[in-house]
Amino acid sequence: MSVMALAKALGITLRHFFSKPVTIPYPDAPVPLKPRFHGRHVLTRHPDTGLEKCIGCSLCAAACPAYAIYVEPAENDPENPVSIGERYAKVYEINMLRCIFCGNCEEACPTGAIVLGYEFELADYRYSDFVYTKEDLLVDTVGSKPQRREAKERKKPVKLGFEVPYVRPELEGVKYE
Amino acid sequence: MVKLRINDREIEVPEGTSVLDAVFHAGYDIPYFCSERHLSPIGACRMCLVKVGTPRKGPDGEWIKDEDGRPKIFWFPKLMAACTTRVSEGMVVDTLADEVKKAQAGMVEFTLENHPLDCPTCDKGGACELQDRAYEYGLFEKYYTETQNGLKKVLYSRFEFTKRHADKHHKLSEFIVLDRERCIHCKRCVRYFEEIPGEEVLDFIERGVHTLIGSEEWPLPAGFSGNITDICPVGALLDLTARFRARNWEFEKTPTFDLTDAAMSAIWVDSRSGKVERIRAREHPEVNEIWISDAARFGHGWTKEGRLSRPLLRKDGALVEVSFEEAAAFLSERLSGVRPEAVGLYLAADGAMEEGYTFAEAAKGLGTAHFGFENATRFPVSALPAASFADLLASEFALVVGDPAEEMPVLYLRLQEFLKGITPAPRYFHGTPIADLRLEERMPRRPERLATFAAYPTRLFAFAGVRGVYAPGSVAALFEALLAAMNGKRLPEVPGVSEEAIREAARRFLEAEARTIVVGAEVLDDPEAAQALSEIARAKGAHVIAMPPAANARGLELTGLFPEKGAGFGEPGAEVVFYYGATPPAEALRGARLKVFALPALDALAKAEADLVLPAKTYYEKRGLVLNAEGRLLELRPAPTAPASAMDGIEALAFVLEAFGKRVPARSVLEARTRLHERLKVPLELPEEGTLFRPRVRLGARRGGEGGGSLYLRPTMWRARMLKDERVRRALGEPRLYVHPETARAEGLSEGMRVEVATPYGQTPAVVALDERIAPGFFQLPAFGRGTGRRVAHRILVPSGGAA
Ligand code: SF4
Ligand code: SF4
Ligand code: SF4
Ligand code: FES
Repeated sequence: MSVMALAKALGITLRHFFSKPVTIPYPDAPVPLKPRFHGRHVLTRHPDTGLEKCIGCSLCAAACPAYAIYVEPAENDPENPVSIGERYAKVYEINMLRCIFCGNCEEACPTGAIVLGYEFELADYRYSDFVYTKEDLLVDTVGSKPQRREAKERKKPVKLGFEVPYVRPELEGVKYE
Repeated sequence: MVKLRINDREIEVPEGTSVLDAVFHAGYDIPYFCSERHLSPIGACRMCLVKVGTPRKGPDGEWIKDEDGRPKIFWFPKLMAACTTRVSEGMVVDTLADEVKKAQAGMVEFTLENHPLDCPTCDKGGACELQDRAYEYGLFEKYYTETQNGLKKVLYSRFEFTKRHADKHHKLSEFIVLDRERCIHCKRCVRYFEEIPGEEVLDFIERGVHTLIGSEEWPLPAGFSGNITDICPVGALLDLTARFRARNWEFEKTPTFDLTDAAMSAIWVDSRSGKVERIRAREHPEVNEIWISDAARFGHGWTKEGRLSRPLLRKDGALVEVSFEEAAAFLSERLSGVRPEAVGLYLAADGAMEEGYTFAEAAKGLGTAHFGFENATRFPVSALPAASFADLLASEFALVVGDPAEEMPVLYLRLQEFLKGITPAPRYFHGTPIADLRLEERMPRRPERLATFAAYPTRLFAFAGVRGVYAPGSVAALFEALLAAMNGKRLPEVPGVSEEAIREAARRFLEAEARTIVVGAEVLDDPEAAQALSEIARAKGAHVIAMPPAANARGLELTGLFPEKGAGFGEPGAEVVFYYGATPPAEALRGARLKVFALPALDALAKAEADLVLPAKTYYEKRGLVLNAEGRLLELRPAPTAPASAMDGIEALAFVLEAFGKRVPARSVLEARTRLHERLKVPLELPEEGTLFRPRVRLGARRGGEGGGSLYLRPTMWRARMLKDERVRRALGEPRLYVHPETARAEGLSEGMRVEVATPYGQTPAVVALDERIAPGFFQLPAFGRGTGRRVAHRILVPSGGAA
């Protein structure tokens, strides 16, 4: 082994020692995500009427390879509808422990209601806490269950650990400050 | 038999077979929408077009030959509807030709043209014939065309056109909703009503693209209406009890049998998340074909209401949930020192034979004479030889005493077949013929084949050549008179029925070669009448189909649960009573010191009287054997809907006996069945469709319990427990108290008056309805499965301001 080689190798080390690091000091700094990242699902609404897009058809549940989704539909009260049309999802649950974030549910959804978002910080303690219900998934909810719990306890807004250059248009109504 | 060729296969089918059935028999598939089993083929949808050719005979009577010397095939100039074309000798059918494929794809597209894109919200989705046929035969491949750069371009789309719009939410009754946009005009529902229950209520209105299904009536006549939701090929007619409960592929589908009535129709129990959500008819060609009654289909709501999952114990006057240990401790404390002979063990009418066996054996072990099952008739139904519905269809004359439309609804539909003279169809490779060319629209009924008598004008009266309304309680006189008329003797008087009618019925009965007598609960409850009936059947030769008010009466009697002497179900006498699955009239608890029930949910009596209530299963959730009215042994399969701790009769009885420190005859269904196998030669393994099982039974009629009040309880297909469901109550409306106008005048009642009727089964509100066709001196009230066909004591209370 020549001295030259040794110097070259040391040179690489030294160069990187003084260049800008690629590691991200997460959680102190946000992770930059690509717009098509597959994270926690969002149930979107029609922006004009505010009605839920989901019609409770269970096609997402049928398409899911991990059997992570449970939908229980019900009939809309015509006076006070939850969604457009006759039917809405009374119960909509995704078990995040089962989900493999494949996005098949999004592909299957005829109304574009269920869309995979960006949140990935889902770690929690109890099995039941991984079952995300409608209120955890609907579009205005920001943060995962543990994040929202923590935010409530500390009386501070939810702190998200990522940033995206833009929110893809399927995530209608999703905004990150 | 006729020989013909389907594509490459030579087959032989009976004369009169349709090409459609021949194609399926040969193992090929063609799409169809308008044909349906047991309905007349009408060729409305043009979906089944195939290429058909036949050889032809020349003037010399010989087949015209082609060059090769084989009979020359003359193809029909156009494609033929397979469902309305009859097979003929030497016929050749081509279902795979390009022109056939083109026609099929074209027809699918035409049908879809005006079909809304509702699949995601439609309850038929996933089990829809239109979806399936569109997928299999539609134009899918040809939607796209390749462009130069290799990309596919949409050529034509089903979504481009403006669709027809129509009423999307048209309720036909409390149970059925019609979506007129989805209707594809197959006419199955229209034909169903006319051909199966024999009531023309639905029809097409308007023409062409504006055609819609409509009815003059609201609601649709209850009874058999639900079957249209099964046969509608699309989601135009849907079951409201299951509306939006789940998608078709999400249901747990359990094939079992319905125990609402003794015919025991085959059903599918569709459940999800531990709840019964929907009941559908399942095909049993010999019993219910593909039909079930509305009560069997829509009356499942009670299985969800207030289900018990833990024992309830009375503490300081109120029932509170306790653990099983505490319940057992309570029982053993209260049972210590009780004389075993003073214990009464009672089972519901829908108990399985294994449960019946365990109850009967336990009673024997205790040495008690108090046992029995709900709605047992005074004359044991198994003392009458059993006959099949097929025997009825093979008969020429039927004498019906009772109301089959309510007592055994499926038999009513079979009687309609009998009236039209339809015999069972030949079976094909694919089962029942889909397009049976023997069937036609508006086939004449033959009233000369039927004589019917009942305590009120029944649905069957419209179709009977001889009919009569007798006064409740005179069935014995009726049968004696019939016997006397057959023997040419002087007739005893039958209140309400003319001598002519009896003579005419007897004459027609004797003239027919093969006869069937159908009798209801009222006859079975009158040993004298049942004796006279057996006498007629034996001496003159007739099949007898009895309609016992307890669904599994034959099975339970066979296991020995028919009491000879002691207090039966609903009779006071025992000091400690255990009722499984049903509660008796309050009167039966008189003198009982300890009252233990096992029920799926509390009812009024249990709430007021029970000391301990154990959680029980419903018959949808049990495993076990049952014996239907024809003597057909069937096996129940459990749907996964019972709360985890709900007990079947065997478990609940073992729980009680153990607390009592007595021997437990069997601890599981399997053990009880093995005993039944040893004792009665009951087969251990049963084919899916059951098997005829008709051992000889020696049982005597029970004495006492004649009742003899002036309130007659009319048979109903609906059961009291079903009334827990708000929708059922809305559909049935308030119960009617039928009275003859004369009696009404004497009692100060008038049409439409609201009253309260106190019966042994509790107090119920009712609306007075005057009917001059029924016998004066009596009141008639729907029984809802309790005391069917009996006469009981009652009081009519007129609330203040109750006048109409
Ligand atoms: S992303 Fe995939 S695994 Fe997760 S819920 Fe959707 S379909 Fe199921
Ligand atoms: S999210 Fe979409 S696919 Fe899932 S039930 Fe709702 S509408 Fe249907
Ligand atoms: S409602 Fe259904 S069964 Fe009736 S004609 Fe329309 S598609 Fe056929
Ligand atoms: S035309 Fe409808 S099935 Fe033949």
